[in-house]
Amino acid sequence: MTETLADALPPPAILAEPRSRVPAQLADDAELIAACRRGEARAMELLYHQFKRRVFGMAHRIVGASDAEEVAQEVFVRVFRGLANFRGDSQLSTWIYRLTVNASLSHLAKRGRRQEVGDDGIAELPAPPVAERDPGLASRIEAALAALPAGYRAILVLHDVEGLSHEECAAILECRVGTCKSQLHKARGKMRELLGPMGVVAPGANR
Amino acid sequence: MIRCEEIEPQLTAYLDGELEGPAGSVVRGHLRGCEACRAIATDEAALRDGLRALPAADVPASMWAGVQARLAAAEVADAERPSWRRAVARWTPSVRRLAPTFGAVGLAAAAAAALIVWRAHGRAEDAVAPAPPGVAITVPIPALSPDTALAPSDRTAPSFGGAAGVGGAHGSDPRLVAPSDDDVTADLAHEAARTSAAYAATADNLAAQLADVRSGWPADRRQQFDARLADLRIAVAGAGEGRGRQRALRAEIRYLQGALIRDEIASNDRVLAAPGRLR
Repeated sequence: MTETLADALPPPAILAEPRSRVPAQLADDAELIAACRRGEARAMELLYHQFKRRVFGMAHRIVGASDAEEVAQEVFVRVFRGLANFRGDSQLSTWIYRLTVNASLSHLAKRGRRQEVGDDGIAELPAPPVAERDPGLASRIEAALAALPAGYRAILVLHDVEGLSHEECAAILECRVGTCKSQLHKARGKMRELLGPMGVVAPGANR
Repeated sequence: MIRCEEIEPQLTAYLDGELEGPAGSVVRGHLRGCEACRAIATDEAALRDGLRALPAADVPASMWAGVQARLAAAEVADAERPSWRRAVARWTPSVRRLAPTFGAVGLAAAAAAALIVWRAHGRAEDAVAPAPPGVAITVPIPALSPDTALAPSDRTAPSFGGAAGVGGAHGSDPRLVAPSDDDVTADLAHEAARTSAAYAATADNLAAQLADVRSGWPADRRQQFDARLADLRIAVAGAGEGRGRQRALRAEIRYLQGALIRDEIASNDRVLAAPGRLR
């Protein structure tokens, strides 16, 4: 679909664009947002590159490899088209990650639970860059993550995989910090249950 | 002597370095003496480190081109959309922000405000500022008439059944009720169903208003209206949950809004508009 759209429309190069007023170094989010609202291509690309890894990474872990690009593209479309209504109640990053989590969970609900992240998604993952003490651990964790209820997966991805603070997670998920902490505890417990028979054993463990 | 059941809930916070002073010391002391809790803690620490060390997924090189293509397509669609629909769309985000607070009432009020904008566009070609929302709520909300043609129970979509009916019944739909704190993240997965249920409640509310005024219409207009509404409801029932259903529900809402406005214009202005004049 994307290919067809791209083919059907004139390439961006021949379209006249608003003249860029973006300074070489953007002072803050406000300038970037203002420039994106004016439709300045360079600012939009800058914003995209600033957030692409995390947006794609979150979507990838929550919806799986096969649909991650579609969801991430949808998120950026919502971001650029929604910036006009973004009132700065939260940080730009929080707002974008909230859109990402909501788009991912909505996508899963639409797709139906039976098709949640499959084995194919796990098989496509590149090998870990460094040798670990348990070489199979990463792939087992990926498998357990994929088997987790989507809500638990979201909190684990935000806090443990992406390394966001409880305060940031709570703002993204629109819940209290305490709720976020208890959800993380339950999610990790569920992961331990799933991984238990698979034998995650770290040095010093007695079982 | 502190028990394992009291330690276990604190392990996550302890491992993340969030327990300070005596609280951390108590957990640490318990772990020194309790092999079972130590095993859990070790497993969870390994899990936490493993999650943090998962390799980052490579962003596909084609992604930016795809975003640009989607944006371009959306802009072209914007340009092709009639001006009154753009006016309605400008109201939509604030409607959705209000929806969780005011439910169907808020939605109906904002929808009525959008109607005023539309009517203004219909009378004068020049763009006008939208009327304040408070002014817009001029249509009384009658109780559902016995006329069954507009009963919300017509709605055959299985996912919201009769729960989104009129008379405040939408409050009984579990997806419209604020989730408990413990369930917040899992509840996000139901976002699409909640949005659909809010749309359905709005449609039912509009249908209830129309049930009253419809009785004053000529028979052929009633028939035309019933047939069109039935088609729109079949489309809603046939659409999958998510955007498809929301789109179908919006189409139904737009049609009902149009019918209400036509009726209002006809009665206020004493203009006997032919059916479908404003469509």
